[in-house]
Amino acid sequence: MELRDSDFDELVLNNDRPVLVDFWASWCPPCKMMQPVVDRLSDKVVDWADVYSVNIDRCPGLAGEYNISGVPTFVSFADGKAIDRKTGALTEGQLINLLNAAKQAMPADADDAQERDTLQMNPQQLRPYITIVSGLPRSGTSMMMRMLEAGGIPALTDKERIPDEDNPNGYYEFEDVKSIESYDQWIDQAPGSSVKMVYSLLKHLPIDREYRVVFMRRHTDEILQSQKKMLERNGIETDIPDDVMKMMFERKLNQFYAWLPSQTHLKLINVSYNELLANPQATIGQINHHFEDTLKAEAMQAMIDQNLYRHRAA
Amino acid sequence: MTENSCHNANHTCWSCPAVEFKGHVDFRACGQAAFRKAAQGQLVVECKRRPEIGYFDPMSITYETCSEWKQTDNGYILDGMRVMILGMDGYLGWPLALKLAKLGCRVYGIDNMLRRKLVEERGAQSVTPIQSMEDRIAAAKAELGVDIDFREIDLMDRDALFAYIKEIQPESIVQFAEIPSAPYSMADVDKAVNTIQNNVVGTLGLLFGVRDHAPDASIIKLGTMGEYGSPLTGRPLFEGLFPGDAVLQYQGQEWSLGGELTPRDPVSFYHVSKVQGTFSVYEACKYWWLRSYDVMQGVIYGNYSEELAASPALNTRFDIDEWWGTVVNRFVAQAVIGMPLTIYGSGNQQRGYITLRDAMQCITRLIAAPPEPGQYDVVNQVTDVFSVMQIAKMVASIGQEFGLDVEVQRIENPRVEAEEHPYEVIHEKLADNFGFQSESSFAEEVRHLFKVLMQAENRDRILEQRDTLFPKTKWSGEHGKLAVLETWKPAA
Repeated sequence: MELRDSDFDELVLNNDRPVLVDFWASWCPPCKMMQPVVDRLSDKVVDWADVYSVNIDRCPGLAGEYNISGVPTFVSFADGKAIDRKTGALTEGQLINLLNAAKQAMPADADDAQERDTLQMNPQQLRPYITIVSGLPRSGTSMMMRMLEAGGIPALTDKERIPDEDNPNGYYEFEDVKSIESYDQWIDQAPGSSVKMVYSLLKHLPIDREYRVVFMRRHTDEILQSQKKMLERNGIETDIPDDVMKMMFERKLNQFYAWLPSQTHLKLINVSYNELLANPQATIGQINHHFEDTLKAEAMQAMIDQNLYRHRAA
Repeated sequence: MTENSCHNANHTCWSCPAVEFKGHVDFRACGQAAFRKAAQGQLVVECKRRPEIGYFDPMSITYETCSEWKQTDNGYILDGMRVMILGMDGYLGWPLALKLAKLGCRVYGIDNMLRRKLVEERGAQSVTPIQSMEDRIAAAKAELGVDIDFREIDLMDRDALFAYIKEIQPESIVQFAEIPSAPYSMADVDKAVNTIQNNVVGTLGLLFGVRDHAPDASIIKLGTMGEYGSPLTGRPLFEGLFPGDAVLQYQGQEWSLGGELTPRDPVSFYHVSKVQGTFSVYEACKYWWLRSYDVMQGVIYGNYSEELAASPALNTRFDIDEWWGTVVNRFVAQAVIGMPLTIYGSGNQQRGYITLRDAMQCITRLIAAPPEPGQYDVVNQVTDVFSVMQIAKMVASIGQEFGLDVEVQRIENPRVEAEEHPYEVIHEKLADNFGFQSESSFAEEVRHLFKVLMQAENRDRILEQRDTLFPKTKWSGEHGKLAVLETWKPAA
């Protein structure tokens, strides 16, 4: 699986299993040829280790941070630290040796200790950062708020926008968030809680705090359809053709993703609404990982309301 | 539309030649030794065709979702893609120009018309008559409704070549402008030097031109299966590079060979020139972030393509003499005029083969799915492996269907080559990664050739060059007539 800068902390450094990272480039013939070998290795060690790849041109920051001066370079990690590394094409045996070195370097019984602590702490101690649910419109942000609430993160909401046919379980909105450009006092009560926010406002968040962002995505065609239905119900007509809307959408989104990597105060995980409904367990697992596995996964899963998935694209 | 035809649906702007990389770009490091400083921000691109989109993540738009890429039977193709074909007057260059133009590409070509001159000097000629380039282009307009731009430029005239590249800004460049004959390169010193100079120096010059004037263009470089030779150990002929799980063991230690260039063992000075071309392109990708597919093509035969079939005025050249003809084409011509099919030596030499029609499909698919920036990759463009003896027998048997009385003859081998050898060719990438599916078979293609070559005027044009069909050029440098070893008539 290829990582981007934004996933690295989450999946590599905060991983409680040994990790092997393949730093590669698409112009590098040995890297290309190693891919099937690395994929096979990933399957082989699936029970006790994770294998990821990082394209050094797509993630120059990471390549710089780990002093990648030749590709492929394989680096193994344990407990957030680089343990062993080797450059050049490797045999499968050599790759496994790197992982074994990481395995030996793992702290003992880390899992048990963490679990005990988790049970005893309150939400704010457990998650001192501010949780933000954001993403594309009509992509299940309200549902995610509800899920996080069930999972153990209280929602900061004033219930001002009342539930309706389009969001029968409520919108989970917090009116103060909409004026964040001028008024950010609410921020003081936000650590440990979650807040729903449109993504164009993320850039106004005070940078002296730490945020965990759950960014909801959904197939663009479905969003457009869902949004159309909502407008229709409210008697609003639009004459913007779908492909133009789609283009505008994607453009905005691209700008956002171009801006994102330099924002060190935001730790973001992308969550696909479609994927969440199709594979709830795995997706919730990834979300839980984003919060250091402090959430109650089963309670979250119970909140997924399949009935909501009304505007499924054909 | 089959699933295969959309092999490139999920490719992204990362490999599209129509985008320009912006922001932090440190591509020349090549990972060899350069120290990469910690860089902020991520790589973004700007679309040269749709600058209004602004800067964006190159991985966010796929060919399938991009409005500039259109679905065709050969996968998605960049609409109006500017493709420059070097050597457009040749056997492959012309049918490729027609096919691409018909698919909606804007086709530009150069040629120095040398092939016509060299074939004439040999006392040979194209069996199917070919028009002047001017008339060909007019016929393409009249018959297929396409516009093709052509300049008579020699690959070695770098000023003219570079100016043309700069003017056109090609998004793909097909390098067919090489002298393609092994026996010609072995005939004498002038011909060997001519081959090396045109192919090696010409290609090297081209790479500098691409670097300076069209660095985002994908280079489709024509190589040949002959670059690999035929190792007696039976080691498979991988697609240019060792696979990731190839391991070298020596004195109790082991090393991965994954991604290293496989050994080359050229079989003539022509093949030497092609090997040098391979290394030049490989290096240019490394030094300058150019991108290329190096096509190790099997022996090509046939003269059918959908576009060529539209009119005789669109004929591509069809050579059959010792220097410029390839084996299948020559055998059919020999059968048509009642001359024995000449097999060199034992006839157990095995080679990879492909029809003209299939080769055109492969090249088109490669153009449609450009390599990623800086990527050098190799494909083996082969559909079948035959021994020369098998080919002679198959051609003789198909000739009999046409009422011809075909004899086969073994003669002393003019070449210096292994006559008994294993031959295992790996040829998977074109099918697996590019959706290639063969549209022709040996028997169909050879039947088509018999139909064309048996037409009275074409038959006469074979008879006129009858003397050029029997080989005279010895690799050893010796002179004298090659002895006939045996002649027989294969059973039907």
